[in-house]
Amino acid sequence: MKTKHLLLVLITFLLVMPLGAQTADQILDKVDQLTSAPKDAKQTIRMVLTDRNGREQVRNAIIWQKGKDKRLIKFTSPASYKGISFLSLPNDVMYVYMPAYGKERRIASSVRNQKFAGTDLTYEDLQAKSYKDKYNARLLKKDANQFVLELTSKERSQYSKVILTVNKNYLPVKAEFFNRGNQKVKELTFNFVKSGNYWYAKVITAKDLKTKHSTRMEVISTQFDTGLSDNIFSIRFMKQ
Amino acid sequence: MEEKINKTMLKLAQWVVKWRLPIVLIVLALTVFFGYYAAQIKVDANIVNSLPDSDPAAKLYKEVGKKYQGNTTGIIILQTDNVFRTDVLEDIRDITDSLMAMNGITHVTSLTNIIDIRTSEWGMEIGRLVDEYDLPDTPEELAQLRDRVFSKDMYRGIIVSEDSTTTSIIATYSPDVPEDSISQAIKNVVSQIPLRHVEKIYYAGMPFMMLDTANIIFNDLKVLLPITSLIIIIILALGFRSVRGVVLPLLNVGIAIIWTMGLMVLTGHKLTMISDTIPGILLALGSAYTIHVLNRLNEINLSDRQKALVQAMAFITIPVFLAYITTAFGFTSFIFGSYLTMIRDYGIFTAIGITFSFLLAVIFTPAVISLFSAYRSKDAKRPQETRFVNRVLVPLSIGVTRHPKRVIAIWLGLTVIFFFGIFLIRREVDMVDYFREGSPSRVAQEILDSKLGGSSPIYMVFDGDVQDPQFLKKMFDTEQYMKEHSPYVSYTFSVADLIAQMNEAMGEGYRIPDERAKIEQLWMMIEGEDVMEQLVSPDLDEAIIQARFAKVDSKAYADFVKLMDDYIKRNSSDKIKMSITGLPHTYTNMDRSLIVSQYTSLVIAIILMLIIVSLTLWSLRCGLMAIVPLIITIIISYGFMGYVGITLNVATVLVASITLGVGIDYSVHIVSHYRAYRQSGLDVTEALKETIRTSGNAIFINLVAVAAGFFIFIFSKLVPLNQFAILMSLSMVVAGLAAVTLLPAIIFTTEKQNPKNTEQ
Repeated sequence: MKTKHLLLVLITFLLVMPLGAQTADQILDKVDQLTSAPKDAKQTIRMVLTDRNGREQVRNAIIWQKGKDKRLIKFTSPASYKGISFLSLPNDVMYVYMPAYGKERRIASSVRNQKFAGTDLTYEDLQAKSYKDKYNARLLKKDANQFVLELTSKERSQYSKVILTVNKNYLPVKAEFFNRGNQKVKELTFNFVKSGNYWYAKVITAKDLKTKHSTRMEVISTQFDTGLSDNIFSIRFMKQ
Repeated sequence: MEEKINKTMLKLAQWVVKWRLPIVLIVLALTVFFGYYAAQIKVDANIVNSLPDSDPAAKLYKEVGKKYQGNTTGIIILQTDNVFRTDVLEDIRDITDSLMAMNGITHVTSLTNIIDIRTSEWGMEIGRLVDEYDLPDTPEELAQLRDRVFSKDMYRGIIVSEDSTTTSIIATYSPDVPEDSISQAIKNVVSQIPLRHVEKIYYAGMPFMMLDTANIIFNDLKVLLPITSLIIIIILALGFRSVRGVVLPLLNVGIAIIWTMGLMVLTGHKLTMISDTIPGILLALGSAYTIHVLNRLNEINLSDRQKALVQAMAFITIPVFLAYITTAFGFTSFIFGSYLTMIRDYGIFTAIGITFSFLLAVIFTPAVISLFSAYRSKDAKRPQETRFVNRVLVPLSIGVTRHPKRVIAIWLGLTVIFFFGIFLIRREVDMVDYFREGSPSRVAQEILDSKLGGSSPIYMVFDGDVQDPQFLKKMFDTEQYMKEHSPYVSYTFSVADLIAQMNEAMGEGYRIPDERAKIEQLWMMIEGEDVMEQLVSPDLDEAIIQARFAKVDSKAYADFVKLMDDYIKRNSSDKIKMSITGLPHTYTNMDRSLIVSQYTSLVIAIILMLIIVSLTLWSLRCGLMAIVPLIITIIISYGFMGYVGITLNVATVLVASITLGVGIDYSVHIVSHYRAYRQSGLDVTEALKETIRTSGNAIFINLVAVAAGFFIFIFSKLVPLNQFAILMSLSMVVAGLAAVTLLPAIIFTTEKQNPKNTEQ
């Protein structure tokens, strides 16, 4: 009698376990499919940085993106930053170009944890890698409107975990980052819209909960699948 | 007029007896009310909070500390045989991470997360000195790290000591959480981390020093106050041999302490390292007033005890008032001319406390006595002439009246000897020296000074256009100037250093670029870095150099202050405005002000005493005579200070005025008793002998109680309080001795010279 019960429980457990795991991964897969669908994109963005006293700074930039691991960011304003460019290439190769020096410099990979250009996004956050490649997922909660996933990094990371909330359309709504002391240190919120065939994050808000500094990054205009040339992702283009 | 006063006093005494029940109830209600607040009293051990805003350096120090979070950094010092080992790095990383995860900590800087700008043949790296996810673990990697640390001024002897045995972790506190609770939490957290190879941990920096001081202050109150009470109980029990004689004075003092502490909390004050002596002082001084009242009651032989009480009160209220008011004025003298607000507040609240004690003694005590019929039985024997009177005071009185000139000569001799000691007095304002040698706080500061580039923060503020090349160059040059010209500054850090390092990484050398555009673009690379908040204002109109000073003595402080003040005079301009503050400046100002405080409060106290005593005795001559023994007492005490090496500090600066305020009572006692005996028909010699016998007894009982109250602080762990205890006790004894020997001798000689007296 007892062993029968136990067996039943075990079988149910074995059946449900992978199912649960699969579900979490499936959700992440769908998220990745939706959010990184275009082959390439060119976007103009506007970043508003707000410090704890409510002081604001505005920056504009153009982003070119091709595939998952080629990206160029070129600042257009303020005047002092105009022309500063960051180029990311496969295998964590990163360059910065400063027009005042007329020189490019390679940036080491260990800067990934660092804030990018005064924003609350780190180089790591800006990586175009898919969620699936970066994280292991576990489904924490599921209801009619949303899924809540717990993500743990596959690589070394400054975060112990990320709680990702995904809406029923498989679009990220919110990502909460926890440090190794299990304190929530950062929160990102996403506002996805559809343009043509693709969903993209029109507005990303990042809030550093320790410094109370926040960044709002808004996509002003966007073009997908225009067939960006590889030449764009080169030092030569950076300097133009 | 005397008649009128006596009548008023009689009426007051009758009124008290009539309204005894409401009086007792009101006092109890007030005690409950103040007690509620008194229980919430907090300690503020931070001497910086006590610096006055009228001093620009002090004001700037407080402002800069707040704005750039510099004053609230706790430093955790780790010691082991060799810092450059993987297991030690793991320990450092674990502590760093645990601190970062704490509430109330905004930044942590350690070997495992410090910013590092590197130049390599292929580019630049703005990152960390070590990769915390991939700590160096081969001998080569560890050696590389060691070379890197020792090749940069910013790290060598600062973050790791030159002998590789010591490293520091610096935690910046959030302004939203009370400092003491963060410091305590850090200690708790760190103690729970299982360490692999770190052997010793020390805690340094202002917040930890303050936590330590606060704990000592609380401990002093918890341990020393009961001991003081016990001593006073024993003295009272011996003096009165009755329960009432012990309970009533203690009750009064207890209530006065509760009211004073309650009032402190209500007015937003905290206990400081000197005001924690207030309860002890109230115990010693305040009980005396009740003792006077009880003594007088005992002396009146009337079978109707209520009448006896009224009579006693009518007689004693004025003398007790005079004793009270002189003491109160002694403390009031601190209100004027004190540099540190904690000294001013100490004066105010001690004066208030003894005012409470006085009021309770003349209103609450009689009310309680009549309410509970706690009179002494009418056949109570008058206290017998004690052995002390017979064996000591009687021979003393004969000696003094027989050889008055010799007595005066001895005192003058002592005065001359001790006078020269005054010039040997050293001053001490540095917090570190308030801890006993070998105490953890002191050891920690000493390690910082000797191994990690110094413990005293310096902030140099530059106002202007921060991204202007001229501005940054000036900062850069100033840092070099400081390091080159002061042997005690080895660590300086500013945004100019970061810009120079990045300029080097861009291939243009370790210097500030000439073009503004370059600075602006480099800025983007470090913008948002935690460290920037500690170096530049958000509006980019102000930047600071953070430096540290390795303390040797106050002379080194003063030299540095002069060096930098001169430099600023030469270099500050409208475009680049410089100002400097830090512990060298605030301590130097404090040091200077300590002497001013001492003179001002002493002069004010002497003038006040002279006025009160002259008015009381209605004779300027008597007033002057009464004050002479005290001035001599003060000279002897200060000479003693100089000879034995007790320093003039925040606590010992109080001694002179307190001595005056308390000691003047002895003189008044002697002079007024002498005059009373003369009026009753005794000749000069007999009157003086009687005076020494009766007043001498009262004075000695009082001074034993008071000296005991002060002396107990010799057991405090704070050095200034130990020294205060020694000096105060000594002063009380000398003041008492001077009152019963020198003063009668002076009276004797002056009276004998008066032809009117020689005829008798």
